[in-house]
Amino acid sequence: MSRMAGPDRTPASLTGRGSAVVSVARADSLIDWLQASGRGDQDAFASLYDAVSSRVHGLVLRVVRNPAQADEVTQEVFLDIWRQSARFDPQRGSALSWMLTIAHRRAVDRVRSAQATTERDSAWVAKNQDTPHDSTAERAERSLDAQRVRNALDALTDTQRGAVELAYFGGYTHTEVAGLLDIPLGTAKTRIRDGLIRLRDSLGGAR
Amino acid sequence: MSADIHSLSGAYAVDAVDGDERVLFEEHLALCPECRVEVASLREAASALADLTRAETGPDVRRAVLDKIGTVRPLPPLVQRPAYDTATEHRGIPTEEVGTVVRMPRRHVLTWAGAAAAAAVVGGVTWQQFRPQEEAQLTAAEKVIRASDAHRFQQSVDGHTMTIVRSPAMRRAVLIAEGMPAAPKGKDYQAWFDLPGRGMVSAGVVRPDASDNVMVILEGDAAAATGAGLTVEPTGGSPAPTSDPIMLIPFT
Repeated sequence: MSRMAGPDRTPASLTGRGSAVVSVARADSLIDWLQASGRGDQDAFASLYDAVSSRVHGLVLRVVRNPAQADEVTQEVFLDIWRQSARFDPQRGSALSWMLTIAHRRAVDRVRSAQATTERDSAWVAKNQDTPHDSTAERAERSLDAQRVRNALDALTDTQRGAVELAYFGGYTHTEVAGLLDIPLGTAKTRIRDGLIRLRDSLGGAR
Repeated sequence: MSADIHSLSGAYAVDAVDGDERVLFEEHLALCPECRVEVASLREAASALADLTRAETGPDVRRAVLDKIGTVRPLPPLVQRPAYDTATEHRGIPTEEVGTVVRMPRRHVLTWAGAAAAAAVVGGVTWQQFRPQEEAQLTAAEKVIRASDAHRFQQSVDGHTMTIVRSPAMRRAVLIAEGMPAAPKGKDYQAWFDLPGRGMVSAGVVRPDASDNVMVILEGDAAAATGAGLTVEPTGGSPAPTSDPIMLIPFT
């Protein structure tokens, strides 16, 4: 489904959403924007949003599934990032990982609180999986990024990959993962850890 | 701590833990630099998975976010505080091997959701970065938690774990909570010690930080107390409880 180029797209690309900026939106820029945000710089935050929102929102949507709820969670995540921006410490990890950790936790919290009262909304609304509205260069870079991660995932055993995906994308606890896979309680925990370690080492080698 | 808790690092890194496990593991994290490094590296790796699921937000979301930030003040950075400051903004709580863990049945009458119904639960970022925990920088609360005779008592309130760590030798107790929304407008949370012959005596007003976390030393003689409670009181607290406790934990 094609998406309307909303009124914000034009000013956004003028202020730096274009492929050139995204392709140089490397760790240093993210840190600079985050730190400027901590001082109240809303333009820096807009740049930050444009650089990371597709990752944040894509992850949230994958975990939460319901597009309307995912939109809400994504908003909450960015408000949190804004509020907490001065507390990011580059000594302790990358800016992207910090932001995605916030996003993942919020998404997981949402599905767990939702499942306490109601069945998880199983409707996967395909139309919301919009074709990203971006340039060829950006698409190419995205596909390279994704390919690198897929290659790294190939290093995991099938059982490790299954456990990691249920935990990360499914938002299940290791206990629930054990139940879903019908394996002993401690085993899911081990598979998740071993799988992440292998993913980490494999990504490290691919950089 | 045991190898068993260490093996939770992966599940913790991807939020695949329940509330109790999270509290336990974060206490362990504060003491275990190896686990801190491992968790950070596993989170880095997990974050790469987001490259597989990218999806643009609609223009409405972007506009809403950029509109709203204009009305929200960014929090100040976390700074090392002097040792006498017992308030906390992070939940990395060091502890030695704790003694008996007593799990209490739910006895509260009001849930947090009820007690704080008027408060908009914006929710806090629960992910925190751990600061170096050096002996010299231990806060008073941390000293209680690390005391060799520290015992922990826990109760679930509205799905969140509240923990009291008490050291009879230090005559102090620390209240730890996460995901605790701010009290409704015009109200405060107030802690109480149950003292034999005196009943409920105020142990101080308790205010969650901006991330909805609490780690605070309770005022008064924790060694003499036979239990602790938490109520919602008018701002500034009351001389005696005026509402049903949302938490009531006997020290037995």
